[in-house]
Amino acid sequence: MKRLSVIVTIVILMILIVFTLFGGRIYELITPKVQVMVVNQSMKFDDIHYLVIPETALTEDNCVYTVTGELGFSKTIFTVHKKEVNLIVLESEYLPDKSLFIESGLVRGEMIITSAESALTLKDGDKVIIE
Amino acid sequence: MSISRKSLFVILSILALIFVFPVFVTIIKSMQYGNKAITLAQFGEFFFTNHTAMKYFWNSVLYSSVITVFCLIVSFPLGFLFAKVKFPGRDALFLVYIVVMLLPFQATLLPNYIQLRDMNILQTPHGLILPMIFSPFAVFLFRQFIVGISDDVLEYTRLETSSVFLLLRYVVMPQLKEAFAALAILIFCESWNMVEQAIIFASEAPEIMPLSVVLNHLPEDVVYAGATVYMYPVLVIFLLFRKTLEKSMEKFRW
Repeated sequence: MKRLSVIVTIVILMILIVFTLFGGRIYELITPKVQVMVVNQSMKFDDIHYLVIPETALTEDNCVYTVTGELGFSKTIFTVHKKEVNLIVLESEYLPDKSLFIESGLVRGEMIITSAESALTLKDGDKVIIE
Repeated sequence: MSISRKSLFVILSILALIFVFPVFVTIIKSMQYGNKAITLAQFGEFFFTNHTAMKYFWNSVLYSSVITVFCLIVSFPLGFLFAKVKFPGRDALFLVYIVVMLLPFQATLLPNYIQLRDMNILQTPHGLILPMIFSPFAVFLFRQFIVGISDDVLEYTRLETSSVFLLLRYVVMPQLKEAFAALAILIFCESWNMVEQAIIFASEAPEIMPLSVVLNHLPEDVVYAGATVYMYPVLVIFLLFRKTLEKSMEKFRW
């Protein structure tokens, strides 16, 4: 019994040492990395400002992945949230290419994942690392 | 009125359960995360997402180990002094020791703080370690154990050598193995659980805090995993040295 306790103790101690040394690195390895942009570009059309996002940020079901940061114990923890947005089609010759215009669903200053394809496996509340 | 063996067993079992209950609850809750009933996800969150918490764990290990070693080194000769060396005012001084032992920690907090400030070691690990090295309780316990050693044995040894160090090392120390073990466990546990000292003596140096203080600042979803990791050294020490501790308690003379 005592021998077993000693073995278990040593194993747990080794685990603690390994996690102390490599905990941060393991977190970086197991957490998905994403590229984000802050939504702050807008187009004024008929006196209304519409936020502009890249086409790649939109999923097939008209959603974008937003990322919010919260000050954690060790570092800022970024989590993903899937948000449905309403798009509007604007007709003008001065519109930027490969961009979409948001009528509602997003607020200026929010962080979104620039490539929705890379975030398809993510679920609401998943932690990510910003590249 | 005498209590039957059965009822005594029941009463003691209930008391034991009351003591063990928080430990079990902490361990069981550390196995839960979100909606999952049995999972190690909380430990994963603790070790990976909150990986810097382990730094404080090792702070605790360092403080407790150093305090234990130095406290034993300091207290053992002092215990011998009070038990076997005759000098004027010895009993009065020992009485002072017992009074100091009975004083709550808070009573000596301010003098300790002023002393550490004057020594310029506030907000440093030394400031957390130094006050705990001098433990009246350890001196008292050593004294009680050493009183039990026959004076004749010491006198015979004095014929062979005049060195007090050799006397302590080769005659007294081997007879106090259990006392050393018991005190090491008790001092380790006491210093492992330091909270007020750290909060007051290292208030402006959060990076040197022990885990006992930091536990309170962990995110709510990993606090049970943190508490389980925090309990681990104390539980291990108890499980590994339980018999030695029991033996020393049996040998102890009040």
